[in-house]
Amino acid sequence: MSRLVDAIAVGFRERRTVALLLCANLLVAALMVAPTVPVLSNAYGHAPRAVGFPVISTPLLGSLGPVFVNGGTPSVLAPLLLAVLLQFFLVGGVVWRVCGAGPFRLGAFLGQSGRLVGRNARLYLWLLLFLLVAMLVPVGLAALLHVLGLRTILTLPGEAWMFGRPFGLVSVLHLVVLVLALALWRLSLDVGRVLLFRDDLRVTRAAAWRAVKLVLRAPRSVALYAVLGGLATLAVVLLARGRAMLPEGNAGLALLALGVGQALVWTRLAFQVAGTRFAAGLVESASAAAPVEHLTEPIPASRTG
Amino acid sequence: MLLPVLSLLIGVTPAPPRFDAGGRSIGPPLSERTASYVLEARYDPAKRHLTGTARLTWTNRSDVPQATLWFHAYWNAFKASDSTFAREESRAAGARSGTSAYGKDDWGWTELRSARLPDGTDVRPTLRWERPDDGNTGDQTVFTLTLPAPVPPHGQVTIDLGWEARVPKLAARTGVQGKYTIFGQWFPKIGVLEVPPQRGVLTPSWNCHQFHATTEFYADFGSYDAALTVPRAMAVGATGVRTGRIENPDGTVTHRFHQDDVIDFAWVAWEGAVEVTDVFRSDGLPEVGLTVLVPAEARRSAPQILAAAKAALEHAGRNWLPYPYPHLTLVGPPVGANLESGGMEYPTFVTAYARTDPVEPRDVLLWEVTVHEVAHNWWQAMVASNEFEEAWLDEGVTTWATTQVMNGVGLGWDIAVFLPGGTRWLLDPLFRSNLPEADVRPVGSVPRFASSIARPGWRFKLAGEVGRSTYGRSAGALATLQREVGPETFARIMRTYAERWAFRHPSTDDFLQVASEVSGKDLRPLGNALFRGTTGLDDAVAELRCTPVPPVWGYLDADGGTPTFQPRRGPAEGGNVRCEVLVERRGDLPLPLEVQLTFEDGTKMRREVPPGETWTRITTERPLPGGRVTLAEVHPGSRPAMDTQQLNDARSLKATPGPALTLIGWFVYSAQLLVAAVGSIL
Repeated sequence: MSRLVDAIAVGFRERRTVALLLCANLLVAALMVAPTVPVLSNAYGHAPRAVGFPVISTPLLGSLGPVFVNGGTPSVLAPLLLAVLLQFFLVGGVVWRVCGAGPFRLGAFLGQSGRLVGRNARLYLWLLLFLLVAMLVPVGLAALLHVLGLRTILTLPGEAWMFGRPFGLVSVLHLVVLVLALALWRLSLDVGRVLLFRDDLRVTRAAAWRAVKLVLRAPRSVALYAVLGGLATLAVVLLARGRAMLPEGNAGLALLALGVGQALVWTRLAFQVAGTRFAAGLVESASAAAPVEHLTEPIPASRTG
Repeated sequence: MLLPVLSLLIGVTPAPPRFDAGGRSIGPPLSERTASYVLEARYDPAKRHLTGTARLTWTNRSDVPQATLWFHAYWNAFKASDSTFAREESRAAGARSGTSAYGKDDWGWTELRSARLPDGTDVRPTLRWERPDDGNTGDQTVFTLTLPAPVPPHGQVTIDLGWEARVPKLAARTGVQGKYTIFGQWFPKIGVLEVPPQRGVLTPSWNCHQFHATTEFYADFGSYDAALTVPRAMAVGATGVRTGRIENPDGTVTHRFHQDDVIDFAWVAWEGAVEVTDVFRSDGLPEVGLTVLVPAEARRSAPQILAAAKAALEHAGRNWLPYPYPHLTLVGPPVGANLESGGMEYPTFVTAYARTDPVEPRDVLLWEVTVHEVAHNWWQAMVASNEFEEAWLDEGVTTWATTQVMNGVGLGWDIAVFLPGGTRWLLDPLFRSNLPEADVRPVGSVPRFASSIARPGWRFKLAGEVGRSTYGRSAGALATLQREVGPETFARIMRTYAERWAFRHPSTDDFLQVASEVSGKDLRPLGNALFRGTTGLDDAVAELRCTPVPPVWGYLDADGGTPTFQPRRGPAEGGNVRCEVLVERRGDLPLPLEVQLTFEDGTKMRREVPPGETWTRITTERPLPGGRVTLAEVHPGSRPAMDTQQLNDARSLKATPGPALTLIGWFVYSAQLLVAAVGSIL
């Protein structure tokens, strides 16, 4: 539990790291929204009948279809691709920060990011295979329960979401299994990244395998990592509720809402850093325990994979 | 004796009933009772098999002998993938998956086994499949029988029809889903012989269309008496009044129902349903017994369905016509059957929705669908328009009517209502909203539509246009007429239309005739443009700009003498300002267009745009200060509902950054959440 608290503390203490991640996030979001700016400004810039309404209202939401009829809708795919690349890039710096580096220096952060970007991307691809394996558990369990006439969120008929009660005892228990499977995979990814950095591993396949083994031997950590994810989700939802309860209708309120939105995304990113810190803590504790020589055994640089 | 005592106790004086407790009319019949049925059916849910007999008594209302009678065999729409219904459905995606989602055991059919006349003659061998709409030889939803002797003018014929059917998997409001089976359009049903001047026909002609994916039904009024035999475990709800229940030695129960003066008979057989009953009582309106059938797990929906039904009965009884029937049955289907069979109207029997965890105290999803379907008991079940050919007369009018009732009870749409039960406590504030009922079905976003409103449902150019034109656009057209004549006059129009055309078959022309007559204005040109034309409307203030007028320069006459050169100078303090307003009319709907300009000093100026003009530019020149146009508006009093975009109806000189910033900020926020979500899986 103390590792969890420590991880969250580190996540929120790493203000510059989180700020950098937030800038990247905002950059991608701005690129997505950029095409809409002239269209929306033109349509609503001198529209007194739109003043004072929240987004979920007929004058605003209902008018968007005609406004975008000649194009200008948000661009999604290209910015998302950039977001993926940025994520693979910046994660190296994040690992560097949470593994006990000294004071934050942008140059060092970017340097570490650049040094590890290729290996992090390859590690991700290897661990995607593990994701498929991990998902076999909840999917198989859902199939088994379905045969027994018990519904899970993977096998619920579509109508159950709107008319029924999707979250019964069985579906909630299955949801827990699903979350644990995801946590198992996601923690393996973080641990793999820490191993790549800490031990300067070059063979990413081997790093992935070691990460999986390490995580499988630490079920309590998986559970705590899932708790960390749950806390992150709860914090985000609570902040989103707060943002949603703000009044809307004028420029000042719009800027205020945008500010609260940044606080929300900041929180989410801080939890992301906390997750990586949690993984680093797991690797450190495993290193401290014997025998862990394989964790520090360097892989010859010629054996790259 | 009991009723007056009860009335004294609860302080309500109901109107005298129009039907007795057995569903038989008191006094003269309310309708012509052209086609009456005595139905007997036995349902075996294990085999999904139905056997039935129907004694049909049909009256030839025309002056021409009729030897060939036309019938619907609706269930053959679910017989194979080449039925017209299945073909059309596979081309158009919708909320209802219908036959598109069928597996090999899901198809159903209906087969006429015998058709005997009173003398014993079986005319079944004369059966001939007809495809009046599309010539599709794979379709078997319409057939004819030819009698050895024609039915004389204004004469009657009685035919004993025997049939059996395989119940299809639930699709398009009929069929089986688990332990729930709904029987709509389930018996061989005679078409409508239209007789001049009914709906504009010039000679007596049969109106009997195939079953289409985008249409509903049309039938004559009659008396229905039904004996429905099902396993004992099944609850039964049906059109009309329950008149008996007989336990049979074979473990089945026969339920009897009767109702005079209705156009159809539908029923549901359902193992595990919970039945909740109530009575609608209101001063001056007849009492109505109410029965709600819901799944046990959605029992909490029943009180809301009842409350919504009562609100509709109250509003309709006061504003259109008192509900004359003694009973109304409402079905909230089980989970898995709501989208396919919920939200359907039959006389005195409607399906709504049922939710396990309804939003309390009022779930707009339950209320809206219940109000809508109950309102159909006026607009189609009593005012029995032809849903095949002029669906707007039931769906459009009912959409308008639904708005009236929902506004009356002060209930708008909250998007949070769609959140799954168990998540609302956490997520509700994220989606909380209050959208007016009239706005949830918009008229569309183009100033010209591809198809007119008043046309057969299968003859719309675009599949997506059928629903939009039939519901939202038609309701918008009615609201536009309402704006033309005022709400009080329009209320009188609807009441007169209901009174005059109840238990008959009106057309678009009949509606416009009543509207013109009551309002004292010829509304037919506008009505024809709205319902028979494709034009829409988008009136807009496209530009508003003001520039100070500089002093005139060049050679100017000075005191009548020789022109002297005045150099160019900037606008002077206290000079004039020239404002230009460009008004555009996109669409040709013949409505007057008024423009109002508001000046900086508070004065206002109104200008009519000449009819037929697609644009006009209004220029003003007034002294500063106070001479600037700060606001230009079209339709300053009230906007026609057919105006597809309301934001461009006004333009201000001063920038309004709030809406754009609100939306841009919301887009940025959503994009950031998306990027963060992607980041959490990378």
